[in-house]
Amino acid sequence: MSDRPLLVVEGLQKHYPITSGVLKRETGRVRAVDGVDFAVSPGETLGIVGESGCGKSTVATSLLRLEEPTAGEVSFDGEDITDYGKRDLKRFRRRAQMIFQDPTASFDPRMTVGESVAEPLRIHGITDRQRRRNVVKDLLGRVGLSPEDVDRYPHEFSGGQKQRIALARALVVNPDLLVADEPVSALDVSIQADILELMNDVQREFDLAMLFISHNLGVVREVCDRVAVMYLGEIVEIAPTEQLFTDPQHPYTRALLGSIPRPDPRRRGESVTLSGDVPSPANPPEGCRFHTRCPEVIPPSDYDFDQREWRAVQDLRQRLHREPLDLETVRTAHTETDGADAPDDETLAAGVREEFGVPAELTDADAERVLAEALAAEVDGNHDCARERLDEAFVTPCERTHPDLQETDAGWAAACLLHDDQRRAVEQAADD
Amino acid sequence: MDDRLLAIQDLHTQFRTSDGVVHAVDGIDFDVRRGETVCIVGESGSGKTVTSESITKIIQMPPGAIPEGAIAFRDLETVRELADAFPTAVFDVADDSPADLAAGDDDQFVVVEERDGDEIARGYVDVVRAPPAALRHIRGGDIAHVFQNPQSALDPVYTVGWQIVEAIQLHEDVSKTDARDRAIDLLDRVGIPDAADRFDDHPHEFSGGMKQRVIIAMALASDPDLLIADEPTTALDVTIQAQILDLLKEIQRDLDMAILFITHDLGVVAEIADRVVVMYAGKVMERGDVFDVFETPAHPYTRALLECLPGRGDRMLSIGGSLPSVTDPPEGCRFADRCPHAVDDCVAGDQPPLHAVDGSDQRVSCVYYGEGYDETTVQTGFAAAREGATADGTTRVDGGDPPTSAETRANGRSRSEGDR
Repeated sequence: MSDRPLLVVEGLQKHYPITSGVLKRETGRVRAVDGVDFAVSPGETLGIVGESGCGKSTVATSLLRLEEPTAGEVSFDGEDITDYGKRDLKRFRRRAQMIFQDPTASFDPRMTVGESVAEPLRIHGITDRQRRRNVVKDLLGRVGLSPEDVDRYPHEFSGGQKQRIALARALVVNPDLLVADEPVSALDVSIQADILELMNDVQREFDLAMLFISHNLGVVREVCDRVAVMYLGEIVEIAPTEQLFTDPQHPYTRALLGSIPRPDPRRRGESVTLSGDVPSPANPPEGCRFHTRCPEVIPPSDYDFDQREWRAVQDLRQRLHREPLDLETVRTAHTETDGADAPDDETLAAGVREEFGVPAELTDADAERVLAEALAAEVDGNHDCARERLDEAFVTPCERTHPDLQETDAGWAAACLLHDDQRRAVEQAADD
Repeated sequence: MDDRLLAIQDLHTQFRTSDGVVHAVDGIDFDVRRGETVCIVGESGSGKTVTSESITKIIQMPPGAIPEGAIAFRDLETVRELADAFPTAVFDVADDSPADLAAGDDDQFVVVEERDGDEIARGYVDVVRAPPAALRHIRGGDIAHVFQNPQSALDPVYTVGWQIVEAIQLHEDVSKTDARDRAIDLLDRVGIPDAADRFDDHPHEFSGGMKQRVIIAMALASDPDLLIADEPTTALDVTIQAQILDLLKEIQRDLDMAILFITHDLGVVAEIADRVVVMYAGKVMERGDVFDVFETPAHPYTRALLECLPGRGDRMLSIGGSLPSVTDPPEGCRFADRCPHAVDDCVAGDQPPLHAVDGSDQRVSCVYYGEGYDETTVQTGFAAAREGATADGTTRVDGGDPPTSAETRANGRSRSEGDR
């Protein structure tokens, strides 16, 4: 591993416009990737993990310029590739190869494996047929297939074998960077292990820099030197693999690690369950994008909240922020269980609390007063008043300040206000 | 007391294809007890999905067929209802002796084992022999399915609420308003926020996790005794998977419903199962209590499967080789080809019988648990066996398919010199 990074990505953005009407006026944009920075050194594997829709694949396609990035700089071996012309781009693409999730879809069924693997060689100017064939045969051997497979067709191979062929095709032009987008997600576990081992081997052999994109943290742990965790288009933490797994610094990383089911029945029920779905990248939350689901969201300093209570109150508040509560469900649920007619306002308010997991009485008396008022207003049909009351009192610093990716005490970067420096900066700003 | 809800005996499910008959499920036995969660775990091609679809016969027939075996559904209420509806199909086992599942005529699918006066006190419905009309009663009513892809299980042109109402009215004679109330209740039950508001939304307005919740609500519409969930969380993100698993556990606790859960993910199995059935190439390799199977895996395949899981922090060991042919399965144990402990007995005759392990509930189909063998040989671990084999240079017993990575590396280097 040399010191100088091979690939440096700075402020990479990829936004997709949302258009409407016949004139296709832009009415909004999906911020698939919204400013990410990272670097990959020769011989190093950087993993990118995150849930679907977090932008991890878009990072891959836009840094290779398979899609034009909206903004940002990508420098490869010291040169900025974002303003490359056609010729330079072709040269760059010989050095940066990609493999995809579905090995079946990545081959032309009518071309032999040999032709498919040789295609990049042809494109990049090796005209001697026999020589191409020899290179391909050699490479098929290296990825664990037989050189005789060169004349067979893709359908004759299993999924795992096809992924080996895809790897051979990527390696055939002797690249410096390999971008692998979910390369083992379509494979069975027993096959996965083989392919991951192979990828580790070829990386060592070719001294490849690798960008490994996966939603599976287990897989990432096997192959990556460092891991970047993405949430809604942003990197929230980037750390050496083992450290990330043993001492995650960002609450999202903790939640993600906590929700992987472990193959140990004695530890069942230990998983952290995040509430809700990932918000839309077209309209990401203000401040820290994770604050709408974060179990560790910071409570306001004026009240004394239990963390779990605070999360529940935030859920209720976010819900009220969107639209008036659906009281009919609470009402029907109530009439069915108790058989009573229309429940009074107090019962309704209690029903709402139950729905959101808010205790019947908050620990902090002041906070309780605010919540009770707001709920009373809501069941009374005075939605705006309820919303304003909650918005005014229960504001978390997390929705006000967007945390930057900063070095934490642990020695690597995370973007969370819980880390001292960030929090101090915020508090100081509030004092001024 | 017999608390079995579903008893599968010697089930064979085959498919006729142009390449020959595919023996997808090739003689398997297991039970599901009332209120418990049984997980069938296996890789693709193991026959786990075909097993689950054979239970309600939702496989395409032809080309599919169930030439042998019995699937006994032992819910008393169903047995009574079907005995009333199909009086000619009732087969009475006169004495108290345990009935042979193959007994009776081919169209006698309601087997009565015991009567209390006129009432049926014990019996079962053999799904394999049941006619379509009886199957319709069972499907969705007593046994409900949840599939992997929530996208394709919902009709995009109807509202979510209407689809649940339809499911309710299919099995119960209720008015539209009552059905609507029940549907809202169900949506609320499975954790859809603002159920009454979401009732009139279309499937595309729901996220993947929410759609899976809707599917679960639909499955619960008829209050089934058995829920068959085929990879219900595989298409979802881990954080959403955790939510759905929590939901299933909660529902099971509240409704005392049995769940047959099909998955390839051992992590999910550890999270949710009471008992586990490990399948490989159409056969049961091992079954038993979840703690036994994870803590003292008996079959070399189970061990290998646990050791090849990525991200445990330990070294990941690949199994090597590939699945045997499904049209022409090899003699002996299906896993022998990839097993480091395989001996001559493993590649002759049939799949070994399910031997008991230490008098527990755990059963394993491996010759090492039979007479004349030392079972501790296969319990020392796959890792040790593998290390020994490769360290001294001998090849391990496998299909010879892809070579080990060490070989790949060595070959690659020596061959590469000329070209590069």
